[in-house]
Amino acid sequence: MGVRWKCDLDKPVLISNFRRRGWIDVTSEVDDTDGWDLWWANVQNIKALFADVLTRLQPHQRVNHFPNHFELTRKDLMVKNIKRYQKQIKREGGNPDDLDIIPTTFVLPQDYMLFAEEFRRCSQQQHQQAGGAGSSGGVVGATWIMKPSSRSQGKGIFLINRLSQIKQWSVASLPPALRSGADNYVVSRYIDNPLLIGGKKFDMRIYVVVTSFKPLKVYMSRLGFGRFCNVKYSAEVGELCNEFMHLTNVAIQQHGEDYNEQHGNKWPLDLMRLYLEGTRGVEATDRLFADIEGVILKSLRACQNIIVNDRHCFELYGYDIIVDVNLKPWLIEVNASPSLTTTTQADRLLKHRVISDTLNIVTPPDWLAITDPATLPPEMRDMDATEYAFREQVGSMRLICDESEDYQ
Amino acid sequence: MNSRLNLNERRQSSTSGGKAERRTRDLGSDRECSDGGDERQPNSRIDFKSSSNRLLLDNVSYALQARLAFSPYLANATMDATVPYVDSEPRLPEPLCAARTLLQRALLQRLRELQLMVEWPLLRPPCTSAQMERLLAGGISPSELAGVRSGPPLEYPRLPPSLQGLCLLGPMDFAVALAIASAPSLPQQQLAKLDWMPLSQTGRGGVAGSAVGGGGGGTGQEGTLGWVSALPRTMGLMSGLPALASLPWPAPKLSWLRGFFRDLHPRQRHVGVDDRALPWFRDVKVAAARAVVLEGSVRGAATFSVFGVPHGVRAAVWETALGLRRPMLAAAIKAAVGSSHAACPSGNASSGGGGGGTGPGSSESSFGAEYAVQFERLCTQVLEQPLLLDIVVSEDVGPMVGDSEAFFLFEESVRAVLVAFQRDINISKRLSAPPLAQLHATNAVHAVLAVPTPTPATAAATGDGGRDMAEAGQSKTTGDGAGGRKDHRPVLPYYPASGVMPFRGISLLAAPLCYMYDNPASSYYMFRALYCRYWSKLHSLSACGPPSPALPGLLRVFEALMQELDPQLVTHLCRLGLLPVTLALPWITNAFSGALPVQEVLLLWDRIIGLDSLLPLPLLAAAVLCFRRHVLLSCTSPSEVVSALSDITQLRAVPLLQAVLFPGAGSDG
Repeated sequence: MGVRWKCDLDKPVLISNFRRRGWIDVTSEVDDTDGWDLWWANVQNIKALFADVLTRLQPHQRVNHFPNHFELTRKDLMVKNIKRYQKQIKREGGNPDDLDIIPTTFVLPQDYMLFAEEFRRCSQQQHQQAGGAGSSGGVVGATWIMKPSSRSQGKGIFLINRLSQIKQWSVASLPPALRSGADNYVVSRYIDNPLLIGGKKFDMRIYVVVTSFKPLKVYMSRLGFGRFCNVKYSAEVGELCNEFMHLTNVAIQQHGEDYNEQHGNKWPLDLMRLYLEGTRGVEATDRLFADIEGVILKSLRACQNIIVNDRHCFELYGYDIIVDVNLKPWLIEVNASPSLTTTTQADRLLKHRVISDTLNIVTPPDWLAITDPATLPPEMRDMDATEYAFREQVGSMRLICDESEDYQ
Repeated sequence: MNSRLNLNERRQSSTSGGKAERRTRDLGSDRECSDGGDERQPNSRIDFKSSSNRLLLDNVSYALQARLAFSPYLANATMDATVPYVDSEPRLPEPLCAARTLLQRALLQRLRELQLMVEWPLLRPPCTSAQMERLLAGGISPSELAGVRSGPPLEYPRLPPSLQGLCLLGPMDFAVALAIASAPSLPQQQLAKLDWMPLSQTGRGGVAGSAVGGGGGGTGQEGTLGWVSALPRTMGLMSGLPALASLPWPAPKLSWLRGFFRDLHPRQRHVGVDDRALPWFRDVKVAAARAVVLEGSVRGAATFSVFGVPHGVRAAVWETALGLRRPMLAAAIKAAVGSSHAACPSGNASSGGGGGGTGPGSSESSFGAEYAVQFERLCTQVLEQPLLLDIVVSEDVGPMVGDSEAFFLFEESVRAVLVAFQRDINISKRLSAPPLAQLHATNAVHAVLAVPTPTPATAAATGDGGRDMAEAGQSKTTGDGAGGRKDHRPVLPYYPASGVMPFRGISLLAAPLCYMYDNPASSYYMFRALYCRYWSKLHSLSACGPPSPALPGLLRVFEALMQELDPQLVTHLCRLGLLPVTLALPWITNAFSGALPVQEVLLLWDRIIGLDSLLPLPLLAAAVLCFRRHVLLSCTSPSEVVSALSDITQLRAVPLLQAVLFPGAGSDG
């Protein structure tokens, strides 16, 4: 009997990975509860699966999301968790500046008053720095970016530099029924000094696999890419509406005039590293990539105690990180379902390998030994579970955090 | 061509820019509608001379004469009589000389064809100073504008699809020319039809769809080798490119190469091999590289470079090895390097300032501010007056750099570097090998266009754009006739001013440098230095021999090496109708850029600079073929061979070189 898999997403990179392993497709089978070993589910089905109190998963069954994964992947909840973690660290006497990993962010409409205060403060600061008279203060200020809390692919995002542009998000102006609705927005300080390469803005997509939150066990892939805007970046106020200049989402850039189908405006992470080593020096580059690792771990620790650590679960996150001119990485958001749609040949190869490595991580030899001993390599069949090699590197994935030692 | 355009500029400068522009545009549309019969009945047009508008008249007659001169009816008549090339290397062996003539004729033919199809530079007025000011308003530097693919300053014409990606000279032309030039026997007839491959077939869809009818596969998929399968099968009957046999030196044996490359032996540690397995090795090399740079010895830096340079310090080491670092800056560099050096061991946190300083510091301090100013001046010339060859360069940059995953971000930098390069008068005298085709601007324009124009001296004296040519003249005369030209003859400027015709893939030679410098000015000077010292040899038919041969010599070395390493593979490929050397040609002419991943290309170039020779190129080409021999031996058709070699991005340069030179010496290739 082989590994039985279910997959809710109709993505070739996923399906071909399952097929290549010779596993058995049970996606269309009706019997839901026991008839599968590995389920690559969409978030709705995850919700349904864990909402049903009668469901008892078998010890070996694996699904690709944690029950409340949204604590990290919904923009407003992530902000809330990181802010709370900052407070906790402060209480414990740590340095909260270490946790300065996201741009200043507020959740609207709840935090509208706080935001308005911060907005005025930043604007005044900016005007003082520019030497401008205070008379115009508060009219045109710093740039902030508004994002819907729970939408993806760059939908509903816009930039503002006047408070009046978002008056409708102040609590008072909303009818009570909408005040805690799903139509939340987060507003973040816009990083207006992003690192530009070839004059263009980019963000990094980094793949991270978490197999357990408590103890925390995290793999990070060295495969990844920078997603570049089609249009050269300019901090000019008049260009605030040009989404081809400011938003790096592929879903948006694909519709740009200059979108190139050969490379899809994606630049492999290893080439980016080579470029930075050449132009910024080896030390600065090493430090940047170490910092990125730090940002990822801090964000995971921030919700370590909140996520339900169901041991049937694993998660493949897509981290979006923007680097500013000082080579400081900023966490923009975490995606629970990073896009598995492929645009170019190189993109397809990369995502295929990421999925393949993820599957290798979540189906270790001891798991296979229980589920499907036949797929184990012959020399491993007679081994005891404790003899399996410690896996620090799985394909492109490197273990960057393993607390399991601490817990025992 | 330059002087023609200068004339144009002078004419325009007498009137206001906006008006002139409008008129030219009107004229353009006028010409467009009468496109078809224009050449046949020029007389009806010349009636225009009665017009009172002096400017219009000038433009019309100029356009007509240009049309006439390039009309297909006249093309063959004056061809040989007017080939206005410099005889750059008088003692070239006869077959190479014949190949050179063939290529020069093809080039001129294609230039004419291009001029026929593209009306743009002939009629585009040069920028007036007011226009320039408007362009550069808001503090934009000329170098930022010079590289833009299409925008307000440089409206490159939209080429018909067949012309997109065109090239004046490509590897295929070299292969064909070297094959026909001295092969009186068998393949002459089959090859003859390749003689005049028109420009329209050099483009993206060109070779595959051409009458020659190769594998039929689009060149896009097969990459740089697509044209190989379109060559006539009879080429396989030759034992090698016949013109190469005339080189006046014997091809070196593998044993000689072993001696030459002795430093590559795997018993030494190399960047590109050992740094992957041993993380500490990179740190040691970085520290050593800084010491080498500090010392500033050219020889020391070259010796260091043979063993590979870790990427972060590559720019500084190369500059030292190429003698580009100026001694007066040594102290400043010392300070920068010293501080970061001191900060390194003291931990991650404190090395912030120092470490950050080394990268940009080393790239900017190496070329001073006046270099940047010079580069901006060249870019200003680009904006002021475009050249026909800008289109050629732009069409090279588009597919080679703009569509490449590794380089697309640097498309504008590379384009700016190359269009500036064409206008740099300091290049022709520094070239280490005579270019294949150096056009005298005056001859080309005057003889071919047959337009009465002032002598170059007056053209240079008048008009603002003549400035560079006056400089050219001065530097030529003061430079006591470098390049073996006669001293007493008046010195003529080249077209283009650099004296270098853009070769297919020239942009790939500039693109990897963008991984070393973050400003195009620095990339430009590194590119210029590398081109003058090394890459010019790749586009030359000079007969010079080892230790640093030019293209014919490199191909010769490759042929001999293949014969010695793997005669069975050579026989197999020839039986399929493929000359092995044609497979290696594009790799060699592009120095493997675009074929191998960027870091491998740079590691290979480390060795070229370190050994001060291009011999690593044919050696690596042979190594790749030998490494893939099992796949190649199982191929049954040329297109299979081509596709087996189309993707070599997984290969690593240095271990392959070691495997060929020192088999069984424990290299992990």
